[in-house]
Amino acid sequence: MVGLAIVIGLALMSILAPFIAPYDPYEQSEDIFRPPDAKYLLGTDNLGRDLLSRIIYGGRISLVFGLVVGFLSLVFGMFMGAVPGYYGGLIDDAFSRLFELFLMIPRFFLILLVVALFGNNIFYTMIIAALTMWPSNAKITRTQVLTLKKRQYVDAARVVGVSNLRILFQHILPNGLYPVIANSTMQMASAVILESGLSFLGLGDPNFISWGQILQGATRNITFWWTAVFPGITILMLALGFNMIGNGINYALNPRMRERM
Amino acid sequence: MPLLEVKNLKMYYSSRRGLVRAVDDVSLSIEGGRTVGLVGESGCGKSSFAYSIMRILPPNGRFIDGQILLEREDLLNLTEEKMRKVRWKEISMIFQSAMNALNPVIRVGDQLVDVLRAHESISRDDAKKKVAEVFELVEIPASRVKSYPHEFSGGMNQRAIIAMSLLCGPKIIIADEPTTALDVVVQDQIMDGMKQLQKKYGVSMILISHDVSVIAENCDRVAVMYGGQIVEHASTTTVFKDPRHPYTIALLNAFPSVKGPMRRLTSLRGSPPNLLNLPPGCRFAPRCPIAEEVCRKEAPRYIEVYKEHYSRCHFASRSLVKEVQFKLENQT
Amino acid sequence: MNLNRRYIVMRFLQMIPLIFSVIILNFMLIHATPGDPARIIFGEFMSGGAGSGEDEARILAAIREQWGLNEPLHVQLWIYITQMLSGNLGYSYRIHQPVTTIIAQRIMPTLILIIPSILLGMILGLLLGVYSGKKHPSAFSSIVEFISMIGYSIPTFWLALVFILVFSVNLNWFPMMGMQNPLDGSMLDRLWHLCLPVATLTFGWTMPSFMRLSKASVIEVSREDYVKCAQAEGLKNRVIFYKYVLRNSLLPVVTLTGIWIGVMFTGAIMVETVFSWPGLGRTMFDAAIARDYPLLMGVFLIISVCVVITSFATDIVIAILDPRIGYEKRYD
Repeated sequence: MVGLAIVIGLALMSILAPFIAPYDPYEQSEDIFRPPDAKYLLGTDNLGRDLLSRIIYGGRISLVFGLVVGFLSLVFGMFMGAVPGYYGGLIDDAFSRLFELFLMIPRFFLILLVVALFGNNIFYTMIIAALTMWPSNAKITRTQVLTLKKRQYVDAARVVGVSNLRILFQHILPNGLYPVIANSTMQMASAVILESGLSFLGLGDPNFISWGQILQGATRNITFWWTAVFPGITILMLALGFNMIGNGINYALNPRMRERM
Repeated sequence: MPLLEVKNLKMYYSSRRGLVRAVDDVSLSIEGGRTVGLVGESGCGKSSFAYSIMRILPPNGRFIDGQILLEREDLLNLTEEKMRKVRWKEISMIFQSAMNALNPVIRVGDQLVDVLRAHESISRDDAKKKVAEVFELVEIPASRVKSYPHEFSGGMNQRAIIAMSLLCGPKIIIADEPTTALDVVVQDQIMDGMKQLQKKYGVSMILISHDVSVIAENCDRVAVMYGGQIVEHASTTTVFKDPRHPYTIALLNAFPSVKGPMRRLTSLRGSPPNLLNLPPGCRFAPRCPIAEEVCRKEAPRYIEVYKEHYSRCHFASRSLVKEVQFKLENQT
Repeated sequence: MNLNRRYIVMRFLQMIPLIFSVIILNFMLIHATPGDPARIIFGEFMSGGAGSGEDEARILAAIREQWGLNEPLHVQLWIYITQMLSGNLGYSYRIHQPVTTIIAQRIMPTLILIIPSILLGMILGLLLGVYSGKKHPSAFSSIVEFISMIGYSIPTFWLALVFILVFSVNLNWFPMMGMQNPLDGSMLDRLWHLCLPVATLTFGWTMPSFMRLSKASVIEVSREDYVKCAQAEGLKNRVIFYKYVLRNSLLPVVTLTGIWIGVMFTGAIMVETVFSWPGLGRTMFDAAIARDYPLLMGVFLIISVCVVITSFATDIVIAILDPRIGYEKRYD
């Protein structure tokens, strides 16, 4: 729940950025590297840009990245997991091999490679990130479908004559949804960290301000600690927020204090 | 002189949402060599009761009141170390799903040997011999001692844990739904086998089940449990011939009988009470077909209706069978 | 062990198509990129060393010859596969060395970084995780959970920056970068340089992961029926904990270790970049910036293959430890 609050807070901040940021994040000034004070709440960076504003704007890309990648991974993963789980047999085997294959690919390296080859367009990065993340969702969905498939109400529905597709969507998926959603939210956290890592290395999309990007500048001038500390805190908070949500969902499913009768 | 006497036992679980009154004023006694059946729906507290006797409750289970007297000694007063010695040696347990009751990564034979050596100081070899003997008793080939639990079939697994329960020569065995996970034919075999062993060794048994037929065939006395309390307790024949609690009657009605006239099976509406939030008055009142004002206001006391026949109902003094049956059959 | 042997063979066979798939994936990437594949293999950078445009054209032609780029696609694929399998991962025209040589040279520093981090993370994580699982629910276990969540959510490179800030710049306890002081290559000096990077990787990467998993695993196993049964059997608590709880809950941890060996390289890139550590991760980073495709792809391939192999090795270890894996039910 706390996680939800954090994420929503940061989301609001991003959306309202133009209104609440005290300065234009791109505007450069002469106050280079001033530590936090009354004029610039979080200090300025190497080009005299206000850090607070940059952080506020930077949130947008991190949030979007996290949400989009997580969502793509969720949807695609669910579909790819539900099909083999339900139909079983050879399809199941084939898909499982596919999952294994994708899971083995080192995600960061792949993105590194893709960025080097295709450029740092953020859309590509998001898609590749989602591509490496969906298999875990698919695996979870598949297990869920397999378990739920055996429940009686599925047999009941089948006997009545409901089509397979409908059974899948109306009966099985809604019940098996939770673990996948929990997993996806945690993937969103990973995505946020991934994006910031890429930007940090200079491989992010230069068109957008990103927290990782800000941190990149900070590395060379580490004595000006505020440029290094603050953006990282926000990354941490956003990722933590997502992780807490995912954790909370898991907790709700699996009460840690199960009462036995 | 009863072997085991439980007097007014109260055991609650403390949870975030409050106290769960799983065992609420339960009294029961068993004589040597006899079988007492404990029957009721899932969630009525049967297993909790069993765990209470053995004192293997989760950390949030607390004993509030009552005594558990094993040959006059109150188990609740024992230190943990002393209780550990009592476990299995005096009272042992058969768990519901045998597959889950055994450690999956250790061979079955080894597990039994460990249990034996935890209570008796004998050498490993002697222990192994004894385990082989016990396996023979339950008709499991001795070679299976080396197998892992998942390599056994369902029935064999069950027999293995029955063997395990007999290992230390206990005086009482608590059998928690020993046959629920099995098919009917195997069920029969197992229950027969257990009865024989029981007779041979003079072991008492508390047989817990939600299957009335299993209880009927194997028990000398029956206790019916509902909402954490015993609502009726009498000899088996009495319970079946002259039940004095509407819940008992409803239970019996839900099971078909081969003999007797054909009648419609009835089921009881509603669901078991929420043990966190109990209604005032009789716990069964919300579902009782013959409930009246007094039932909702005042909780009935546990009284002895006839000799050795107890009931917890305001109307226990008269025969309710026809009334309840009628009401059940005519529910809309 | 016969059962397990078949499993081993099966997993081994499954490994092969995976390796092939990775190679094919690499191949597809080369050809999916817009532009001349020969250029891709060459790498796009300011070819200062290669000299004039004429030299370049010559090299490109040689590339085309070697990889058969003028042939139809399936022939190219075949050539590519055979090249990769025979150990020719490509040639970096930027560094003027075959990729395999580059990897061999630079991998040691990375390993020096990774291995202690995994070990430390495992030890610390397991100790804390198992202990908090045992004590669950408690304030301690909640704190542990929270700490591991923060550890999860922390971006590694930021943690590195913070460590440098605090420990190097401000407190001057540890050096900021590099593997050793060029003026003093002693062991002590090297260890000193090793501290911060390893600390970063451990606290931000490996420890939280192990902590979380072992805690969850211990809690879950403790709930299983066989643990309850072990308690009922009157086994000593220590025995229950080690033989029943730990032996079962550490299985997922083994799986995790296997996964970690694969993931570690990612963390290595970050840490090596920040600490100017001359390892493989740093090399990759430089290669990415300079668009040194052959090096990138070569390393990618090798790492993928490593992941496949470690995954396979982990599966085998688990099969040895857990008798349930690779089992075919015998009907008796």
